[in-house]
Amino acid sequence: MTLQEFFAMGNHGFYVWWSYGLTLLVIVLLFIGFAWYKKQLLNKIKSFKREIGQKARSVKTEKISD
Amino acid sequence: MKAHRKKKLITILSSLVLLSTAVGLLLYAIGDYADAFYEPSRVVNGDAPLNKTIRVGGLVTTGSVKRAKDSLYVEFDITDNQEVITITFDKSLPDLFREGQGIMAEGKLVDSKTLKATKVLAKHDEKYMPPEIAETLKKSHKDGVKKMEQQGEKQKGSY
Amino acid sequence: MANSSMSSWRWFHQLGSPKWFYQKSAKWLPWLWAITTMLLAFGLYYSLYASPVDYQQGNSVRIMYIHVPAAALSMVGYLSMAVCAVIGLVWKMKMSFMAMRAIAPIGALFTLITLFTGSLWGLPTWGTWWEWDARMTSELVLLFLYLGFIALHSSFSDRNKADRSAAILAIVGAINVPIIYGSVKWWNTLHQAYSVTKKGAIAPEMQTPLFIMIGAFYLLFAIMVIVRLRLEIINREAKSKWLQAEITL
Repeated sequence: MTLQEFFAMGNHGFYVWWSYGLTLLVIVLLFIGFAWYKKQLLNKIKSFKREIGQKARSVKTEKISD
Repeated sequence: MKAHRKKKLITILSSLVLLSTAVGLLLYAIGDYADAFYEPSRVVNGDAPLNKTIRVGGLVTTGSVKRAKDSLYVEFDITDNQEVITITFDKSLPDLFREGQGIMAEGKLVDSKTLKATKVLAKHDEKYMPPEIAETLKKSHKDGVKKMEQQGEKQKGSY
Repeated sequence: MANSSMSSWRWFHQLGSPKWFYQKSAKWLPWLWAITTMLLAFGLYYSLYASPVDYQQGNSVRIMYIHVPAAALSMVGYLSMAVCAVIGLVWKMKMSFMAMRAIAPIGALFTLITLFTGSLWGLPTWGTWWEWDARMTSELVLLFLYLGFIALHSSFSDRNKADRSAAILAIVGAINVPIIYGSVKWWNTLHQAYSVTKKGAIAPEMQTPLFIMIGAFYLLFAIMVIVRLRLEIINREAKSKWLQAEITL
């Protein structure tokens, strides 16, 4: 079997390759979506931590100024 | 109305719409789809309406397929083993279309024995195998039939 | 945490602990990826190259090797979501609700794959990419159920309410799964009857790649759920100390 024959799949290349290709595409998109969501969540935690840090610092400075 | 209440209401309403669409689709499929289906004998009896899209299902009779030389136009007969009607079609046929295969044609009746199809669907029979095995099976089936016929003749001869 | 005297239930309690799962699953994932990649490589080699063409369908039979596994997981996914919903409602287990929420988008993905590979297979073999027959319609309804679940869950700002309402939808919607499965037996459908494990229906040299691909898809499903569940844990435990210690920013 030549490479050309392999890609042609008889006359069904269009259907077979689109099936496999689209399946791969949506799976990759899912993982990209996961990565994007993770980034969002980490940003949320980052700003959350910063807030706590700021509060703690402001409490400290208040005590010093007293 | 408060904003969050409004949001909630919209959500509940839209999920209700979504759910009822889903149920509606299901009922449509089970009911309406089966309604427009006719066997060849019912068509010949005049049960099927003219000028309305209907579906007819049956087996393609052997030797009835006539293809045009210079276009996709094709004519063939289908049967439910009682009556025969002719289907005409001018688009490409599905891969599973062949003589003896179960098919379903959708279209309008030209007369009580001819349907001008806009769609021809072939039904698959849940068997998957390579061509060589199919060939062997066919051959062994033929051999088996021949053997039985021979035996039958022998038995006849012995009487 | 777990009561050590009830060791037979320990796994259940451990699974119920987000911390335990988050730490352990990080160790499982590389192994799961390795096995899945290997199985997928084998499966794709067989399904695209080393398996025979079908006597009637030719090469388009190769679509079966992704369509059937995806269809199986679209239904298994919904059932596992419903099981998580029951456990969450009855035992008030928060990890169960997290798993339920994690499964939804992945089940929807496999349903989508089932639908478009089915269309791409049906077009050359049956002569149509879509028919409103009971099998195809009920699979489309499954996609709507998954999407409805996600929409319903994300519409509540109160997480407990979101979990409970979505859980009820998951349980009620589960009735659709036996409908999908039985549709080809109960109604006159264009879709052919069930043949995966039926004796003699699929030639052995086609059954081998099919089973390899089913195995690979199950593992892929597991990986996706674990990855998504870890994100759900980050989302819901964002304020807990153990998680913040776990994540180095």
